[in-house]
Amino acid sequence: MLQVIREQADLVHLDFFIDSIKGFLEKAGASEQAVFDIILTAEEILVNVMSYAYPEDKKGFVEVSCEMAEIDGTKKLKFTFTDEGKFFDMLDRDAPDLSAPIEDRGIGGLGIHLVKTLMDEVSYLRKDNQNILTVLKNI
Amino acid sequence: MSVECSRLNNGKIVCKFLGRMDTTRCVEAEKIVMDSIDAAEVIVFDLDGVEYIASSFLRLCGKASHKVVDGNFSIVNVTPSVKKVFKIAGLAERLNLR
Repeated sequence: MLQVIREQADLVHLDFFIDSIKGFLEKAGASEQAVFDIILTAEEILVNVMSYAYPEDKKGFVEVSCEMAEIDGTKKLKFTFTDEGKFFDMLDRDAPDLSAPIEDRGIGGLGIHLVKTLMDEVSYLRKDNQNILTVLKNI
Repeated sequence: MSVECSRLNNGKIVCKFLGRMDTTRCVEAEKIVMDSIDAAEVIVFDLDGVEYIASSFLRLCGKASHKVVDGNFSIVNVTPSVKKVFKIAGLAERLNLR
């Protein structure tokens, strides 16, 4: 089961991506909690890409590939986020200081902390001038 | 409308959020909330109608909580999924989740 969603990396398209991913998760029969965790993850990643990957006047694309696969005997939902924006490894940041006031924590750091905690695997690859972020959720 | 704020006569402001508090709706809600809580003594965020939050909602809660003295900000009617997000962010106790 595979679905690819591709649009300009602009916040006006955020709802389109989220609705499409929700549609995929419904077809995949994901649990309510899995849907919640994945939608939150997708939103944090997409908002990051849409806000920072490209210059404001030159927005490129962002592509989300949604897959359900069996890996090592476990059913997993796999989402790959690809853009051609500037090099940006979201995972390469220190964990936020959770004891600091929330507004003093780095922007984006909290979102990535949520993504890393909610997903079972998260990985980043820079290849052919593309940022490729993959997340896996066991179901 | 993603939020409605009502002022009670004892200086208490209750902000009732509705639906999905995603990044886009948080931008809209933040303006309404910050305008409404300016002179508040006690702030209550009621999440009874909230099915989903993004990290931007956590920031909005943090910002609003600083408008009043410690202990006078609280969040009520939180679903288990939403509560989990506050816990992961290390904010459940500080923001007085009930």
